[in-house]
Amino acid sequence: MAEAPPSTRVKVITGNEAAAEACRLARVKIVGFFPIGPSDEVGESLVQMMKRGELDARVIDLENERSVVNAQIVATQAGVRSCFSTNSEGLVFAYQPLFWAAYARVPILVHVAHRAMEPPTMIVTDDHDTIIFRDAHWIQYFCENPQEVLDTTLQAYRVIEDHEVLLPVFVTYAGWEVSHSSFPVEVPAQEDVDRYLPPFRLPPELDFVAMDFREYYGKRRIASIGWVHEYMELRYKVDRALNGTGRTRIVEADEEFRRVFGRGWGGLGELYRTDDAEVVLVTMGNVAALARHTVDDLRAEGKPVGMLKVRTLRPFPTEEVRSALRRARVAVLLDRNPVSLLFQEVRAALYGQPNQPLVLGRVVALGGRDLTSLDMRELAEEGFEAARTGKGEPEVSWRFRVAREGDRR
Amino acid sequence: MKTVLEIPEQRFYRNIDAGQCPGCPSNLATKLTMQVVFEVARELGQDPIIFGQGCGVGRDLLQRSGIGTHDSACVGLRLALEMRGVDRPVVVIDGDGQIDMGFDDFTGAFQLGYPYMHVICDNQAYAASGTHATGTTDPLARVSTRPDGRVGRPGGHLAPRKQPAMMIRFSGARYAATASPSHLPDFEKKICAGLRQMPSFIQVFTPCNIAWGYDDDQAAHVTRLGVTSGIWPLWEWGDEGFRRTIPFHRENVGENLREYLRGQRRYGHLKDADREVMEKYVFELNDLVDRMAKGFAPGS
Repeated sequence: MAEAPPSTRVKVITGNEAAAEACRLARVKIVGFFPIGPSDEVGESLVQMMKRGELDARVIDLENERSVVNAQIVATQAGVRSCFSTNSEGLVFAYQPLFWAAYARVPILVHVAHRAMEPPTMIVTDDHDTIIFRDAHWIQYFCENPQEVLDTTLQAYRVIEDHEVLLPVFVTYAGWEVSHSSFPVEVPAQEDVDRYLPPFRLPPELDFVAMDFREYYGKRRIASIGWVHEYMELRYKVDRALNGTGRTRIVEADEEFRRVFGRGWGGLGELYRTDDAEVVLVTMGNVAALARHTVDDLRAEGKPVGMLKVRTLRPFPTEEVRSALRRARVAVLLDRNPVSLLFQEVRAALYGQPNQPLVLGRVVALGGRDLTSLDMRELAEEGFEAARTGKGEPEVSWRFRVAREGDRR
Repeated sequence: MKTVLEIPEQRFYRNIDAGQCPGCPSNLATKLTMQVVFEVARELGQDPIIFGQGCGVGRDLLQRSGIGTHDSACVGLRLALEMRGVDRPVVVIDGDGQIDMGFDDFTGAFQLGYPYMHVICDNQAYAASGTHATGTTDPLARVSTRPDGRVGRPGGHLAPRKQPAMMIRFSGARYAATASPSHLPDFEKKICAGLRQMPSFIQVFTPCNIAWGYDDDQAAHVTRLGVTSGIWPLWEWGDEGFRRTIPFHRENVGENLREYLRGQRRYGHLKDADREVMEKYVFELNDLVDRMAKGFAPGS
């Protein structure tokens, strides 16, 4: 593995601070801000950087997330790189402009420290909040730790600003467990980041500031209401940008990142000891860390288990899933959301494939509920049991330890 | 400052040809706004950015953001221009529905004070969607969303219309005004004043041929009657204070208001008692304007 450049510094910072460091290194010019925990520390950190003179940017602090995302969209259409951080209720408040960003092909970046949807009003973690935007043609990265948050943010800007992509992106991570946990993080030097991430340039025909409005309004133009004759083509282009070019650019951005900084994250997904695995644990986000350790423990005992980390929910790593599970007999899908999305996606990816494994959907760790190494080991053992009996029942189940049973009334 | 008509080498600016109704006052107001903005800005060496969305305004690639978000769009644009070291006047033209759907957006952006001008073409309806009421629909007008109501106030909108121009002056606008394309010199002066005193907001009276139910060739007449009947008082409130820009003649209200109401199918259901309600409403509106003019008079 290549070494990190010598100019890299190691800082002990939280996931939110790592997101802010990445935005600083990306030289963002517009910082969207609206308060919501556990995400708003990203904006707060950036404001502190501005105060210290480390970042030349302006803050958008409007009345709610809808206005902030909208202002972020238009600023980006005017050729300026921007960032915003929010989650759960903030995202649904911005539901309208979030779709606008994708279908107007505006490359904006939003950090999401996952938080449960209401009710009840909870600030605990749950992947549900961005999963509900899986059909909005946003790229969605799920990060495991603060280092991946920083690295992915830089990669994400490189991907979305590619003129053949031009799509918005969520860079997500677990609320509290990643957003507020301090880890040692390698922070690259500005000059190395500048080499990796070029300045943001829109195609001239899309640059709002470059337009001559006097000339434009001085000509006769035909109405384009409804885009009736172009609608399907427009949507086709967006879909290709995400599932065609976007897929390729995500892999390339990660490979180039590894070349420059000596560290990569697997592109669309990470296959860990899956080559000869009989049971594969499929995860997203920070659950992958525990799964990886469990794989190592069980491997030490001679048990053929592996792990697949889905890094991008969109575009979904269909080929990586098929590759990781080609020889597996059982896949155990660890869904940190109440709709078993990973279960649905993986089953769809496997449909029609030869030698399909049994698929066990397991909903775990919602709201930060404990998921211990013993739990993870049990889930893997359940996979081996299914492999032995050939029965994958129940297909979906929820696994959790009852919290504070003694407190119940 | 020169008026538009005094500027040589005029160009004709147009909305997209979206099949707007013949004589559409909103279409006229939009074109006139662009005419003033582009020509005056050119005299001043400026290069304006204009965008927007609406029935008479048109929709095309220049629609920059979703419904009800044009003010935050202006904020994002102003900040981006600042970061790129570019100074261009920003003007947005849209309809009264934008204020309803984006009131938070509207007031929040003005409160921050970024310089831009917001012009709404107020046709008192979601006309393209079937004449649904907006916050600025006048009382007793028939709209498709309100079933017939109490005696004396049949079928329609019961509450006085919102006053977004007054509200926004209290929320950060440096200049707010009402205007009408029936009174062109007044209209032009206000667009110029709005460009000089940003952030500014101008609420333009733009009757709707279809939603209001009058013949296309009556558009200009109905628009003028809106002002002369007193139902659309013309005023401005900027750095120099609040003042009426077109005088209100109480003695003319009765006849002009009757003609204004009679000319529109949306008021076709009114009885004599309802017309008295409307007359009272017009006097209340104008009393409010007079009180504002007195309280915030130039130099006060």
